[in-house]
Amino acid sequence: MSSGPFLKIAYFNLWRRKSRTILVIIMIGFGLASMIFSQGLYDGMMVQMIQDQIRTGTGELTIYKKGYEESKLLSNYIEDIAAVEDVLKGKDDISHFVSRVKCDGVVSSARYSQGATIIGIDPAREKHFINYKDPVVKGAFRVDGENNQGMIGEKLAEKLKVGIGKKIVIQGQALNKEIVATAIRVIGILKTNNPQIDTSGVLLDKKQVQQLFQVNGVTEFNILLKPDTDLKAQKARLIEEIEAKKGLNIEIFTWRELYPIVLIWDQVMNYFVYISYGIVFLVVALGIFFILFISIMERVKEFGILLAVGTPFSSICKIVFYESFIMGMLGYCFGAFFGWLSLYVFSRFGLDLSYFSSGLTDVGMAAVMYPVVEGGYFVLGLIAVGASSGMAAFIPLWRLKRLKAVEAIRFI
Amino acid sequence: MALMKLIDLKKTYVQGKDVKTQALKGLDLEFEEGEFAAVSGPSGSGKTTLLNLMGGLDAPTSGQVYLKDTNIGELKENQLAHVRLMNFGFIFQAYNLIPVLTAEENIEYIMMLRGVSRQERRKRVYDMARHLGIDELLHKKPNEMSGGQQQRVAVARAVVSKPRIVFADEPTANLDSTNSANLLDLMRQLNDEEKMTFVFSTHDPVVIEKARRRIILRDGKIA
Repeated sequence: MSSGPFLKIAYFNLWRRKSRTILVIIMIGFGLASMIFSQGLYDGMMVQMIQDQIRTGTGELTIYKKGYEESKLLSNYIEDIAAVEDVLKGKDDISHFVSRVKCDGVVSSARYSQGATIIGIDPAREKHFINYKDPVVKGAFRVDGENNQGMIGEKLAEKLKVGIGKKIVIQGQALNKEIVATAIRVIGILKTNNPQIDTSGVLLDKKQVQQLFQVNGVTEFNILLKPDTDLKAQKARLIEEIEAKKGLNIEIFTWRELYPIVLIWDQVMNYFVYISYGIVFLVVALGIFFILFISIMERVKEFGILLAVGTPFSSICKIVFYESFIMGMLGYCFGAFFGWLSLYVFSRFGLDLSYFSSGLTDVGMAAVMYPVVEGGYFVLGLIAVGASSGMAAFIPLWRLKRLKAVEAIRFI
Repeated sequence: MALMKLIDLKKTYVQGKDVKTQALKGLDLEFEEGEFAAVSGPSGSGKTTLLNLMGGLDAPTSGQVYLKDTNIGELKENQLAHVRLMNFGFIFQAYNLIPVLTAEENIEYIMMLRGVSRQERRKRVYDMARHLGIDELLHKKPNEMSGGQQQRVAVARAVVSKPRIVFADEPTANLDSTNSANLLDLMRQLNDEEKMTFVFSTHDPVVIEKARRRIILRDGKIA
């Protein structure tokens, strides 16, 4: 038997009470659009957060000398830089790598002093790494060891109350246990959304840091991989090659291992998204349920006539399900379109949350957020609306099932 | 064998805990094919109850309702729906067309449920519409038609699929005298030409006058 007439009955029945149906469709659409937007925003936030951490911190893989990660002792540095570079240069899956020297120390201005992470970098190589987007708030992305020039994080600059051209003094303990210090002129102020750099980072020329702290090597290699590279497999291959072929005693960490908090954030966000979807699911189901129930109670006599003339109950089910699904799907289309539109607009122009920015950047989040748009949101939304539309029809149908044709015909 | 046979048919309605109303008190009736029978009697005499039981819309408290050799009182709801679909046509007092469908779609609805091909449905609908003088109304929806027009469409819906028996519960109750007479003539004509069996309830003397067989009910019994 063709479903066409039942579909037609269902469709036109919906529009017998236009304002009521439109209200439910708007309700479903609004719930879904806000859900899709929230999910895109959370995901965009996480992608940004992860990218910021990877690009300004660890890379996707980080190579340390064995024991460094646990102790952070400067003595655990990698001396044979060339050997590691030799292995890394030969890997097609690696898009870029840098080596850095990180030392703990103290940074002081005329007014203030605090603990600092002194990072020795090679600005030419960092160009494709830390500088993947412009982190420079003031000045330039440049370090100059010969002229004692370097960059500092934005929050650190605020605390030290220094600007471009001002001098700061860094001091720390060199490898030979002596306290060393030098004055640095600030030529760049950075905002990376990596709390380590923004709140305590002093970026200097790598050679200058090596000389100052008497380190004849680097403390870490940070590696970026090409898209779709298997992180764990690459890690295993690198360990094998560097240890076995080059005889170096190293250990490699993925960014997930170094930033477990980011993963926890990601999980929390996911739970939040699922809970929100559950709420949308409930709202959609209740909205459709109430409207269907009222609509069916208004039309009990009509259903009775359909049953009386021999319409099988399965066909009555079709009518009710179609009504529910049409309402759900119209709401879905409305919500999916506005969800997509809002994500598209904000993914291009960004959502400026700078009013809350100090709190956000403290936990490594950007003040301007760029949501992402993924097909999965719309599939998940479709499943949620589809399932809730289906479920919403059950109770009204159960009510109809209990009704005898003769009672329904008498029903006023 | 009779088309329909009722044996000691009883129906009792229970309202609340203890209030019982005996609508039918043991009827024995037979209907042959091609009959044009009127069931009459005062309000509350059991006319509608009788038609509902014969049409498989309600179950008897006791007794049997046979359609040929099938006791439809023993059938399950989905089996009853199938029996109604394949054998019975219904004309209701309040027309009861499907409001969102056009007259044409209303008329072909039962044939569609029966699985009649679209081409055949079209042919039968147009033939019947011409026959009943409603071919101008086919694209109208029920709310665009008068009561008399709607009742003609309802008759067309009931008879177009050529059921074995058509039940009409007070079909002229909402019609003026002219439309009532026209409807009765139409039903007589279908009865004559198509040999279609009609059983209708009424308390309108004009309608009763036109019936070939008259069954008078009083207090749930044949008077």
